Amino acid sequence: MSQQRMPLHPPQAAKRLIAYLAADHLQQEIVGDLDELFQKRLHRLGYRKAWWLYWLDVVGLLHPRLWRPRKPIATAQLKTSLPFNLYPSILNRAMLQNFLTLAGRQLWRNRLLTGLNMVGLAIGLSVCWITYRLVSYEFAFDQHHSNKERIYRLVTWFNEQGQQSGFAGVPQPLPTALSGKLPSLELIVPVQGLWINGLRAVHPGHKSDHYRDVRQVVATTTDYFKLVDYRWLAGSPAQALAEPNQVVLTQSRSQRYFPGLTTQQVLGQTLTYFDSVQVQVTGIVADPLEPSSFEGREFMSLLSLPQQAFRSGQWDDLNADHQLFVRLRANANPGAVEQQINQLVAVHSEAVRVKKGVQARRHLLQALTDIHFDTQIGDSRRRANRNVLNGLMGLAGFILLMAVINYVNLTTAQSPARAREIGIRKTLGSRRRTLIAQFLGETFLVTFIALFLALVLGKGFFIYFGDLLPSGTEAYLNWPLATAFVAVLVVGVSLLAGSYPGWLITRFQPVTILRTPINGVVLSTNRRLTLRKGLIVFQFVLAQVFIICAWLMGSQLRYALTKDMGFHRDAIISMYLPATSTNPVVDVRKRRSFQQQLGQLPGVALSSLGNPPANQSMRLDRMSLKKTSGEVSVELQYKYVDTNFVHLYRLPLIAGRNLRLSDTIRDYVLNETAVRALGFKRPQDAVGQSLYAGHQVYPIVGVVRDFQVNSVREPLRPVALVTYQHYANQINVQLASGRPTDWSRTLTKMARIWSGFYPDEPFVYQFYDQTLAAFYEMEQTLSRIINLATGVAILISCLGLFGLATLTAFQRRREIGVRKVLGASMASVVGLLTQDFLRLVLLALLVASPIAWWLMNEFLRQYAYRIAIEWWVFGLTGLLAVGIAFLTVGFQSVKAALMNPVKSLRSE
Amino acid sequence: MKGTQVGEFEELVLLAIAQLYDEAYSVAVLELLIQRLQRPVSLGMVHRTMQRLEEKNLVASRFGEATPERGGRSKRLFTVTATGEQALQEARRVRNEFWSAIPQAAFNGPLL
Repeated sequence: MSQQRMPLHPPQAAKRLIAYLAADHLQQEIVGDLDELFQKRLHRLGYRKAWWLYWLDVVGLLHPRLWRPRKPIATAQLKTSLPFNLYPSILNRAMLQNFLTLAGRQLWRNRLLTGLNMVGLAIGLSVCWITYRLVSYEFAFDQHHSNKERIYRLVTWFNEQGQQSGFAGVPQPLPTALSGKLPSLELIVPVQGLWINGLRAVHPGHKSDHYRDVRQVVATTTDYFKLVDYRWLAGSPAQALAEPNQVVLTQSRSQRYFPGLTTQQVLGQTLTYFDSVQVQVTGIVADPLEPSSFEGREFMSLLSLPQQAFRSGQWDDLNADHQLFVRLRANANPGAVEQQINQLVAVHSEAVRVKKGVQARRHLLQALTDIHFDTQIGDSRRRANRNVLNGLMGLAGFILLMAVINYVNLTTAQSPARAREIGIRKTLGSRRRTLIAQFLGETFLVTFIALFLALVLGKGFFIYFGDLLPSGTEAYLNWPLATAFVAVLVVGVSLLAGSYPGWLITRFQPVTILRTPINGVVLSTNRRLTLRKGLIVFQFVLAQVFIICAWLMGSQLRYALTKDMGFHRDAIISMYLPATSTNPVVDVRKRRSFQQQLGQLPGVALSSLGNPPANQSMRLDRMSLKKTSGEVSVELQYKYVDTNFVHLYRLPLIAGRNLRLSDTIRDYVLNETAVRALGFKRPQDAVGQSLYAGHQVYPIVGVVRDFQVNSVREPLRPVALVTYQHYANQINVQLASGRPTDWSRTLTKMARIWSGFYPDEPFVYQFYDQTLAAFYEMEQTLSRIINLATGVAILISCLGLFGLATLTAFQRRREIGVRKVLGASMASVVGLLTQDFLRLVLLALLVASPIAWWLMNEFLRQYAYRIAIEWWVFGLTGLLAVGIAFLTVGFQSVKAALMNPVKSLRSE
Repeated sequence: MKGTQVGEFEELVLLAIAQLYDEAYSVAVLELLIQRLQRPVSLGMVHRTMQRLEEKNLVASRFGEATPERGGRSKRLFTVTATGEQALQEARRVRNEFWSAIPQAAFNGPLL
């Protein structure tokens, strides 16, 4: 076929594109124009050029005017001749007033549903608000420091026998060794955290106040104030800590110690730390407002410390309180600096040297902004877990989503009733955009009111559950950011919740709506019903996942709290005995006689000096057994106890004998796990063998039954009981009576004896079962959060279900009337109305169960001792959910079933 | 007066429509403009301008005959309305006033 004979068409794609884009009134004209031009160019320029020019024209036509619907001609003239605008904007005053009236009426007419929506949204919003407060607080940590990207903390990383662990402290000689050696280090600031047990503030009138348990005290150098910014109220940063025996206080501390004095007057006053170190106040700074990892509130000059901190000490002696902060120069490479530091330390420290390719210890630079989130570096400060925060944000988002789903569900379910209104308004000339704007406006109104409810709820949360959040969260509020967040939240929720119902209801042709008889449900086609059902299922899946998780977590917690740990724990109290002398022998003697005096009290059955069987601290030591076949070495946990230990905690000896009383280690009693780890088949075989700990050799004299030495997270560990009275600074007392009513008399007597021995110390005791319960603080907090979330999820799901059931009952009242007239029983009517919903809830259970199972499996994996996930939990949860759903739906169904059919059928 | 103000291109299109009188439709206007201005003018520009003029009530339109080369689609024929004529006259008057107010020296180079 030759070219000439082929009909030469303009580019079809371009033609279709323009036909698709062009507004109706322009289409014919434009396509015609393009065709005409194409034909003319075809003659003059040929096919190829004409084809390209056609495309060029099409591109040139792309402009909003191409698809914009026809504007009424000459509005300008109408404007001048008519006193009002034909299409007023919704922001017009009269229009706004009209809109508010209509929205108010609409919301009031459906006040039950409006209320449900508002409560649901308020709960969702308050959850988001609280989460926002927490997350914004945590992420604000250390963000305000100037030069924050150049500030690092030097930390220690251990790699011992494949066990990796991080540690916040550094060797004490390190700061001195580093100074002047590395040009990349701009500032080297040692910071020692101190816990002050006795502080005396001397007032100008020569009387003095005594304070105990003073925290947030650090010892540091002048450079600290170059590293961290403070607002100085008195004194100067350059001079403040230059000399020994100087201290800088924050304003709050200065007011605490010297109430009534101005900041200038506080300068030069004297404080006595540790009841022995006299220091002078040389500066007052404002309390930092932003959350910061620099937690100090009292800054003492490092030179004041008697023990020569950071100047002596061993290279291999580490303490988490000795921390070192550095600021790098602007162009320094942290990796290279880290390398240099390790090379320098390797000269002094055996452990940092690389031996056989293994380095047992190295120092790392930890960025300041990571300190608050790094869960690997051990430290006493509270750290935040990024994963937990992200999880919480997800949780809050889900709960808000549930509330939004409710709103969408209830509003679309109402649409048949509203369709009539929309139909009339459309007929009277309302445009679709205006109608959608009205829907969005109504949603915005509801959301806005819900926001205020949410803020009230949030306040309530801080009052009743404030302890779940880290302290300082409530006080910290970044106003501009919070305002922006709330604005985005409200607008986002309004758009999310309002656009679908608005779009749905304004889509219908007014003719269809107005032609159908009253109450004819024109809108509930099957497709939308499925969507609504899907949303209900989704909500109940969430609610049931929450229920199952809350249940299993609660069971695990109960299990952990009540599990037999292998020892007796009732009616035992324990106290820490303070050191009062620098000579340990004196202290040991004092403890012994204190113990003897306690033993004479009739209310005391038995007492034991030393560690309790389970506590959260642990000390591991490697011990080895020399056998003919070779050496077996085991990590053993030491318990420093006395001879009463096994009797007080009722630990049966299954082989050998008890320990002999002694001030130092003389013999070992092991537990069964230790014996097994050492390779003995029977406990009896171990008795009489010798254990080597370094160069020291002591015999195993007995074996006790296994017991837990830590929380249920940990498996059984090998334990060695030893007598070593220097470390036995705790006394455990078994009260004679099992009745709590008898205890107070004994405790009063004990307090009297205590004040004879330790007059300066408060008598503080703790019941041992409470100490054990404190192991599970994290679980208890988590459990409370999950319970709360479960409650919220169930509540929101039920709100939605209730609203939908109410609407269904209303929409089907005519059908119910007819059924009743024809002889349907009440039970069958209730069944008719409830079965749909119950089916959805059961479907949700099917989806929720595997999700919950997986989640809980992951959660329980961290426990060495854990409950089994039993299938009946899922069944019972399903039953519970069905029960809740039935109660929610049933009320409305019964009401509908009891209605007199005359009422519903008479009106037509 | 607001509403009758016309831009430069609008004025040109308006003049073209006036010149073509009974045969003023988009393609004709486009061709005339290209011929007179000696520069490429896009169909889109002409369309948009004519729409704008119609909204301003400076031109009126009606559908005209359909030709085979347009694939049987009818043209939209434009005529200048009375308001349009006024606007043209006004624009011309303003220009003339400006021209007559230019001192002769301005275009004859500096008097040196």
